[in-house]
Amino acid sequence: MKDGDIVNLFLARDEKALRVVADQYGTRLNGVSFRITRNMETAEECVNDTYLEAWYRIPPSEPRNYLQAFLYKIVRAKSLNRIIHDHRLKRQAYVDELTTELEQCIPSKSNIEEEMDGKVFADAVNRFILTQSDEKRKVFIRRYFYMDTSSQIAERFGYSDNKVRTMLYRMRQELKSFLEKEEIL
Amino acid sequence: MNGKDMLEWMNDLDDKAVVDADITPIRVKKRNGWKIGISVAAGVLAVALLTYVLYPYIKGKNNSKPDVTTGDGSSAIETQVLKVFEMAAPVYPASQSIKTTGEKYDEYLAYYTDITRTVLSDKVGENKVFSPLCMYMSLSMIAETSAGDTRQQILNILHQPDIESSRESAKSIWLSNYMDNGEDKLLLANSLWTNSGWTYEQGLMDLLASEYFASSFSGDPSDPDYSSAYREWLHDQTDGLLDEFLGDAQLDPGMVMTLVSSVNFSGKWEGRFSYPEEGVFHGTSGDVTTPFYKSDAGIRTYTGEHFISADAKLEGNGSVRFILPEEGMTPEQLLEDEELFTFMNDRVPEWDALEPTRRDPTVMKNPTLVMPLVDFSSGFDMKKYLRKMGVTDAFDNSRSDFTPLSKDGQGGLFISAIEHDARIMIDEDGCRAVAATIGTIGYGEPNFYDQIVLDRPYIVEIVSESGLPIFVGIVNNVE
Repeated sequence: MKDGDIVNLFLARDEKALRVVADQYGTRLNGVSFRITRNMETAEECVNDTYLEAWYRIPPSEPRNYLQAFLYKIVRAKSLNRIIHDHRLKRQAYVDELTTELEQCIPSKSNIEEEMDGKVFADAVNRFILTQSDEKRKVFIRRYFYMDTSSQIAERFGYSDNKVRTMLYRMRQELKSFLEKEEIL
Repeated sequence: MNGKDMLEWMNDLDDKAVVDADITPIRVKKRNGWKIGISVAAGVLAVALLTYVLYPYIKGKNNSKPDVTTGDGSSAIETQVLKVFEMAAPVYPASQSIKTTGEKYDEYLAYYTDITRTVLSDKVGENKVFSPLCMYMSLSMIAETSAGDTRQQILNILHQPDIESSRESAKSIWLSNYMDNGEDKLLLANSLWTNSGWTYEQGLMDLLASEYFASSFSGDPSDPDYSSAYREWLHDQTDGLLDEFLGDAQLDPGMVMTLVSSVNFSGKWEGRFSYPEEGVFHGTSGDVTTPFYKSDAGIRTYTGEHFISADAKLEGNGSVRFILPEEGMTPEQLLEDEELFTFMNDRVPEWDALEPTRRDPTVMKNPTLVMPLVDFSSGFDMKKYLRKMGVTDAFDNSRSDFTPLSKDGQGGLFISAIEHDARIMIDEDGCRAVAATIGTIGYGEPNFYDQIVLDRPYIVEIVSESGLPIFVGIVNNVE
């Protein structure tokens, strides 16, 4: 079923919408969550929570043209929240690894105590990734949105692990310069 | 604001970009369950491959082939249902019998010195890597397929007095070094691809299977399926890491036999390398800013008169040695240094054998290795190097003697091509390729240096757990 038709089912408060979403996107959503949580049970819970949240958010949202991304973002947020707050999942070290990498993008002059608008930051990152080549943009998103390991990215794109790490390192450096130039942070 | 916030804010990335990044086709196939880039492990990788082809005396003289045509003139091979079949298969020893035997490798090390100097002194200023071990296995097998002066010239460069000693040495090296524990590995593999239109000495195929663990295959070299099986074998043995060279490999339709050896290594660093800091590598092509990684765990050093060496230990699978020439000297110039090979070939860590002045005040106490990431490949046409080392008859169809291989081409078979390709990958996790430990002793004398910074061209060597140098290369530039 087309995304627009699925959204229409949500808008009509037809519970069939949930079954269609599960059939059409369930496996992918599970994959996104499992890559982050590394726990099948938790991933299933996050996916079920995602369906529920989609039910409450449509309407007012009407993601007719970006339903997949809309669902991915919900499941990612829920999965990330679980691994940050549920220490039984033992993913803290991995979160630390990613956050340490991202902190390398913070311009040296910025005050890390200062409040920052996440939307402003995300908009800047979106502008930045649009300046990157297709392959670099995908590698960056796999790392910091899907939270893949460098070896998973290497396998997906047919690169060496080395190459992925070097690409990411350079993009972080470039992002730092970009944020400085745009005076974002 | 902190990294955790930033990670959460990534949730607002562009919708289209997020979806696009999820539908990227997976282009690398996993084979045999082996995972490329052993995550927090494989760093250095070196793979080597060598091919040689024997041609009939008159290339394309298919009429001289024995009984391969049918009455209607079509090739009998084309009508075969089984297009590729195995002529001989090795019986691998039980894993518990494969272990480090403490064998002395004096002949191998003498060969290693000669061939390393010959090969690496060429292509000055370029990155280059090759596997002397891979070449050794191939040359040993070529010696088995040849006779007379052709064989003797090969034995000479292997520093072996006769074929029996050569055979024993090759088998001993294979048994002492082959390892695969699921994560770390040093895999050696040999195969022979024969032409089904020729008759071969089955005894030789059996001997190569039993003594060199070589698989022999037969098929029509002009058949795409046979070439496909050949490529598949190459891909599997090298984990696809040499596809740049071998992805389109074809068997030459005119060949009598193609012999392939491969070496595939990976290992993880014993000590961790820290987050990178940007630095400048002063390469032969100019300065390049690149990430450098640091480690002070498991690093052992030795300072020679014209070089500094740092050994980084791998977990149970040898070590990688980085040799930095003194300022003003290139790695190629350093290859002529006698002390370098005395040091490189001394796999037993008894530095007392060296003059005390050589190791005195220059040994570091708590050395730190600072290195850039490395990933490059090299391809060599080995003919010219082997000629330079004294192998001439094998390439000359008027003098070559390959009678042990096939009586069909008596007096007409010769080596038409011999190529060697290798790749090395070193990163903060480890190394993929081949590795070995070389005992480098650090005496507790005054500090002279506290860091070895690989920010200019250097030599890199991978040594197996048994002490055998398996890969050696020169890094003149980084990405």
